[in-house]
Amino acid sequence: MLNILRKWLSKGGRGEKQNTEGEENKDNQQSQKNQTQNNQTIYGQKYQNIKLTRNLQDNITNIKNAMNNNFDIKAKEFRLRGQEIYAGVIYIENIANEDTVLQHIVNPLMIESSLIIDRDDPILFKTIIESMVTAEYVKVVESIDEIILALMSGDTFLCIQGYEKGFIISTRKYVGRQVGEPILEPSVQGSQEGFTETIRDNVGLIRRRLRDPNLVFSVHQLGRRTKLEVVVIYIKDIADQNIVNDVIKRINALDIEGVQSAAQLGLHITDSPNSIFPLFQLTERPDRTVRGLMEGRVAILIEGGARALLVPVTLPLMVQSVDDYCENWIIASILRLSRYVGLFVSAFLPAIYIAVTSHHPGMLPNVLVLTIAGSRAGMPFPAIMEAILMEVTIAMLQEASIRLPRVVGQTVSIVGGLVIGQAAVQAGIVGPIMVIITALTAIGSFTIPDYSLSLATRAIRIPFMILASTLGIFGVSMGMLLLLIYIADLKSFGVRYIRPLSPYRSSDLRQILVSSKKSSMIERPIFLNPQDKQKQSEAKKGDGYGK
Amino acid sequence: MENEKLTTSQIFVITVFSILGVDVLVVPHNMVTLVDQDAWISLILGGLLLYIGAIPFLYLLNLYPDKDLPQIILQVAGKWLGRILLLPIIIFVVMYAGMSTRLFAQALKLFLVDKTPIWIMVILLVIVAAYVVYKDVHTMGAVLDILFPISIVTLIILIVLSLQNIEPDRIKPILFRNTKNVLKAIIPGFYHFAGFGAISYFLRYAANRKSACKSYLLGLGVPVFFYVVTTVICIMVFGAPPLKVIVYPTLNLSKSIEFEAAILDRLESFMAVFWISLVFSSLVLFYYSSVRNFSEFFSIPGKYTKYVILAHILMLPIIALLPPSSLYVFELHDKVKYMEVLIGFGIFPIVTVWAAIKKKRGMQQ
Repeated sequence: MLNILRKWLSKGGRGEKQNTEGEENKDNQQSQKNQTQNNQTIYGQKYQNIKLTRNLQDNITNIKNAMNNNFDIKAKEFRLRGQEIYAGVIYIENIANEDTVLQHIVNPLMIESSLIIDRDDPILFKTIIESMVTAEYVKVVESIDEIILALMSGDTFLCIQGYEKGFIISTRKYVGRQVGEPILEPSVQGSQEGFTETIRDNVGLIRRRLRDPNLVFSVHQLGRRTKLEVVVIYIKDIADQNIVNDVIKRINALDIEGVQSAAQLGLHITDSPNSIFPLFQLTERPDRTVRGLMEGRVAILIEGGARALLVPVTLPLMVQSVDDYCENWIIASILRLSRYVGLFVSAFLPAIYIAVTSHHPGMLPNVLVLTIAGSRAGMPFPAIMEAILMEVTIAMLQEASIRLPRVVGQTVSIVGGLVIGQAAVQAGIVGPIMVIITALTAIGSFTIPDYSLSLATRAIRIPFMILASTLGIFGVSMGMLLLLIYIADLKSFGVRYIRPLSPYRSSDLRQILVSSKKSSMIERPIFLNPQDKQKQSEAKKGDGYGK
Repeated sequence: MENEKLTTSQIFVITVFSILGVDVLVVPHNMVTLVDQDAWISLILGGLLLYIGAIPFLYLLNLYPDKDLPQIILQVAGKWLGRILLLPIIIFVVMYAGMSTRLFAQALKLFLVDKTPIWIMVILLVIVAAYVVYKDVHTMGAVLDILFPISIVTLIILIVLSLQNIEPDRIKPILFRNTKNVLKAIIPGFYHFAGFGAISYFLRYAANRKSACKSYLLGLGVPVFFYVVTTVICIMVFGAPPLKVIVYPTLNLSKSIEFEAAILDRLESFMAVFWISLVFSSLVLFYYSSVRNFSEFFSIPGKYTKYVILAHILMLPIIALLPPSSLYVFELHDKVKYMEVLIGFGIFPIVTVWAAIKKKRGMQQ
């Protein structure tokens, strides 16, 4: 089954097959081999004692029994035309393409077979596989495990009376939604296509954008029970082979029941599972994935998950958006800078406000201090309580608006806006400036392109508030130092999370932090250790960007 | 990456931070007390002395490229004599780390958090520093990399903003009947550059040793420059006589700035926040050096280093809180710095010559 997908994937580009099969590292290949063997067996149940027999009826019953005689397992017996030989097909009707089964397997054998097969054809088996079945992929199998696994993925098993072996024929049907717009990562100027749940469509979306024969899709199977395909994608002559091997090694080393989404897979293969910062990037945008691949990163797709996993990732990479590359570099830099400000505001603004108002009012201009004091006069709670109250409310609102169906979602925003904005102030529970601060914080968190990252800022907000109210600005700075050390120590697949902010390298810094001016875009970011270091030719005079 | 190395720029940052610490707050006061308005000349000469000390030191480090200072001393001078030579360095490093923490906590109490007790600040600073030392050298390098621009930009902003208050005449007369004092104060000027030896604990992690050595020599110039400039500015703003009674002139400097935009009323407490990054960085470097010293002195194997780090969490605050009042802090701080001369021009040359002879003999054999 693995081979079926591999073969299908390799059809996309010339020279591709050698890449996936031939030239990978030896260790890598070895581990892959072991994994393949492991994955050909089904966890829990043992079918070792069941063997294919010469009797067609027995075979069909055995296989059906092995799969608990479920209603959707279809078996059809028929006679090869003009002969006394019976054959049978087994498939699962909802995941196999019944048209293919009938058109390309049953039809040729049942109707047209007499044209070719003699009654006593000694090489009947070979003739069928070579001349009769017109389906795209056929494989001879003997083990029941393999057959069942294939049936479970939508392939069809063809069995012929008198043989202790049969064929697996690919008849998979992919049921899924159409390619739609990316919901979580909308973009103004970028493409409007997002990944779907079918790995086949997703690979197609990437292929269409990157017509490079060096693009490698390495297929692995994951999960004791789910047996889902995981595709590791990278560009062979750009990505650092160490990182690629590391990714593949980690995926193969997993022994889990199964994952349903790329995010889950990411949590399983991440460097430090306890990190509150996302150490992998999830994206539903094919264009962003392609961009990541060209930066020398590795993408991971999983069947049934509408997201690609991009690794390694660093903090500045998280703050990038696709739109950055669609605008003039000055505008793009400003946009990106505003996102950094958003990140900072979202994490620290409430803490700084609390620290300044309750410990160091002298830092602010006198008039402002008076205004704040005036607005806070008669408030029952200290600033920290107000802030936590607002913070909890906002967190609940955000959570509620995700859970509610879109139709009712409107109500939440109205109720939330009115209750928090107006009523809380009028009732004298929360000061108006605190409302402004909370709103700014929330807006700041919305500017962060990565959802997990904005959740991380939410997680550190309240600890910082507590530090601020107990130790003032000194506590906040100590907290920031701690956070900085924590981030500096994080690694994503061997790449430090803080790179390229440290160590300094001007070309990386310029690309990642601010601009995307062409003259600074000649080299690939070096911190991902790409093999092919140069992106494009040196900017020339008169090509529009260079001067 | 597995074979992570400190880049040349990180060596530069470490060099700057190893010298540019809490001293930037007190340099003008200390020096002006000794030589009045000519303090800056002594500092420049002290800077020259720094290079005179640093270049042979670098030579010593290059004799043993994969060892750090305590290891070199133990190798060159042997088990017992080496430990005797190492002892003053150990005491100096740990005292310096403790004293600078205390000095800074005191400054913070004066300018930022007047209600928080000093011991809380000292302990917090030490614990956070312990956290980064507990991680590896490369994390340390990354953290210092981020803090470097913050600290330097703060210094530059302070200097630029102070320019509106200066009266250049206050620096005059230059060298008028003062030459003797200026020369006498070269050694105290050199005290403020204590910590140039901290590089010895990091140079062995450098990716490119040759350019690392260059950036070390270049990095030494940065603190000299900033000390001289802050001293000159302080003299020009306050004049020499008042400086003798201002304990933290650099912080007071920000107090004197009239901020036209009036976004922040008290710039000095705002500035004090940014000083934290500066002082913290130098504390981290000395913390790490001290941990290395103790580990080598007691031959503690690598896997027990974390206990040495933990022991420092206790030891450093005790040292820092030892002086009962701020008066004693300055006294002790000065005394600790005398040791720097002993180390820089006593122990280092002895070890260097010894090492050179030993190497030569080894070559001959």
